[in-house]
Amino acid sequence: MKPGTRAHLVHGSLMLFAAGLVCRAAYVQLWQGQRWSVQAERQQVTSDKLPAPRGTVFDIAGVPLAQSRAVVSLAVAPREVTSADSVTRALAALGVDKRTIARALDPRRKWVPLARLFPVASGATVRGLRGVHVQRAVDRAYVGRQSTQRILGHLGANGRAVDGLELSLDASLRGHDGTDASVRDALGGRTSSPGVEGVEAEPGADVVLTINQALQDISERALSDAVVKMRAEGGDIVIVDPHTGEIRALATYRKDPRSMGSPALSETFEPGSTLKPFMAAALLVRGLARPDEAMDVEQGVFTVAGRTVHDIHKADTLTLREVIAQSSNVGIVKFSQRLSAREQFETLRDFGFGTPTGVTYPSESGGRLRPPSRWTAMSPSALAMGYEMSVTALQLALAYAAFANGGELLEPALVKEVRTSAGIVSYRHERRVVRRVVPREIADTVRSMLRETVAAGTASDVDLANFAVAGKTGTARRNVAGRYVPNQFTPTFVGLFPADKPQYVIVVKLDNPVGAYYGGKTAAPVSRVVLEAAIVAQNAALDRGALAASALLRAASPAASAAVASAEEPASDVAPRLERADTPVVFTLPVARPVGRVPDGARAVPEVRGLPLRAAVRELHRAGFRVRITGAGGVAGTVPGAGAVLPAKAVVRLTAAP
Amino acid sequence: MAIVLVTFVLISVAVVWRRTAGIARARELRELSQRRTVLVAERERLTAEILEASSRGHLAPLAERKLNMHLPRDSGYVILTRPVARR
Repeated sequence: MKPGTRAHLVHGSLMLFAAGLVCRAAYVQLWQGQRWSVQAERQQVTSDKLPAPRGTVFDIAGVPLAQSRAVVSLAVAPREVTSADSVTRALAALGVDKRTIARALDPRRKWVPLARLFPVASGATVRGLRGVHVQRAVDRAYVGRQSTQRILGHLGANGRAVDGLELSLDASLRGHDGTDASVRDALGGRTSSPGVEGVEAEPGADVVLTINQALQDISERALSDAVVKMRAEGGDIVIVDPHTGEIRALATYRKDPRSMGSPALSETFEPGSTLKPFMAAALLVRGLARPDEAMDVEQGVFTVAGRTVHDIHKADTLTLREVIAQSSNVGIVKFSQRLSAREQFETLRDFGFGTPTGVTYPSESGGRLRPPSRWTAMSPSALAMGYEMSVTALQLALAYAAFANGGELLEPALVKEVRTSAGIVSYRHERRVVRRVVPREIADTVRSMLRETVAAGTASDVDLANFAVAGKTGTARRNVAGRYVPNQFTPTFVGLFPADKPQYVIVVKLDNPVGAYYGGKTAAPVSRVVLEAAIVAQNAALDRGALAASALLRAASPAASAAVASAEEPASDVAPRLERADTPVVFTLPVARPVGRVPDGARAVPEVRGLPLRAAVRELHRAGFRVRITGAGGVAGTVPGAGAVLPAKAVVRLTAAP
Repeated sequence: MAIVLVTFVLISVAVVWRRTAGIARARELRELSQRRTVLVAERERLTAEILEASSRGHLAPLAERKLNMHLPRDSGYVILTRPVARR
């Protein structure tokens, strides 16, 4: 073969080879490109799920109550482990027990996930170990005690909402998961690459509740102390803002560890005498009774529909006001006989009984209120006394809120605001009136009756020295599974604080206390503890300006605060002044509201009840009063009572009891 | 031919160096990002602990038990108002 021909042959072969390569490359790139790139991505690019943090839940003051925290979950692939000693040491340092470590290193197993979640820093310490796989996760941390947790609910092991607000607000709180994509090298290391981008996780929306955590803490503590002291089975406290329907506190304490959820919303009870003011309102609205109309209460014994009704306080006659203040069963039964069954039913239904309130909570009970067609001959009387029906603590609070706000039944709110992760407000609670249940004048009249119940009736234990409180006690026989349990009671107190311009409606309910069981002696004092603590708390959702005006109004004229019905802004151009420099705690409130004139040199009688006689005398002298002692022993009280405003050097009679 | 070869080698070296430097930076960024995640998680944990420790529910029993403090009774405080200018 000629050299030239041979060279051409070689060149031709090379050209053909090159053309073949180009054709193959074109085939691989153009025809098979998609398939190969998918396969390459599968081999070289690794993608982990980035769990989206759930939104934070705040209280109304901005305190976080539930927060998502980044954590890691660990899993061991025993067959990939090259240094069992290093893995053992690392896991032991993270607090993993020996048995789990042994299981995690058992080569018969392919994959051993560790049940616990670990801080993100732990992930960094084990990241370099072969066979230990780290995966990002999100944990939920809750601030607050038992009751707050009951409201908020829980997340299951898979991160899904199980109950409480976590469940009812899941659509808002839940975010959108992202992905963390990176390029994997030959040794299994990971490198970010501009060509391989993940997707950022989108956090869930933040939720601001109407709950005030300080008030919640106060309520929880007062309740748990009371339950332990009174050896009760449990109890609930609900505090509602009567002007907006916003729930400020929902405290629950149960000795039974199986108790779940928020019983103040889901458990019902017979309200007992706390229902009597609604009968009074029904009578007043229809003009069937006047507040000062007297009724023969038969010395506290009255038979109706074959059953005898008794009163604790025996009397010949009582006015409607006194019937409420003294909680006379005979009186309210006889007054309510003027109402037809339909009128009685409609009144209770209008106040929201027998229907769920619609609060944002997954398990709310509507209570029980049977229609008149299913009533017995005894039912009208039983209902007037708060039996044959059941309510939740929240329903009771909202119904009383109507007496505090001029007669409107409000929709309750547990959620104040929802903000997206971008900070946009997607929901804000607006005050919503369900219906007007009574005219303003009637609401104010009933409120004045409730004030008398505290000032001189069954709830006198709740009265405060500086503020007037209105309210009603109730002591119902305990109904378990449709039967009354002998010697078991459900004492209740519903209070409006302060009485003239209520900022709180507080419901305290105790389950089966041992010993004293009357609402006025059990539930009412718990309300007093809550109110006392709330007044001096830094932030307990109280308008201190309005509160100071209420305090001064009471100080100026204790009687004036009783007549709360239509208390207008007191007009005065003189700044009020109270002089009690010797008292231990002084608060300066940012108010400059002119109220009624206080006599110069006037001062309030300090509370000395319970003090040793000598200490009480010293306290009264220090306050600038002269003291006259009656009896010997511990101090039972003073006349005039604590909080009364007297001129300096006035005589205060100290009654002592052995 | 030699110039082409040298150019090819130089370009290859430059490409490899650039990629190596890029990968090193990416690794560094990833580590920094991980450290940031760790620190943010730690900050959140500490914030939650501070909130819990400074909450009323935690402090009130401690103040009563250890410092012998107590809430004032309702007659144990005075509400003062800011003076209003007299006309």
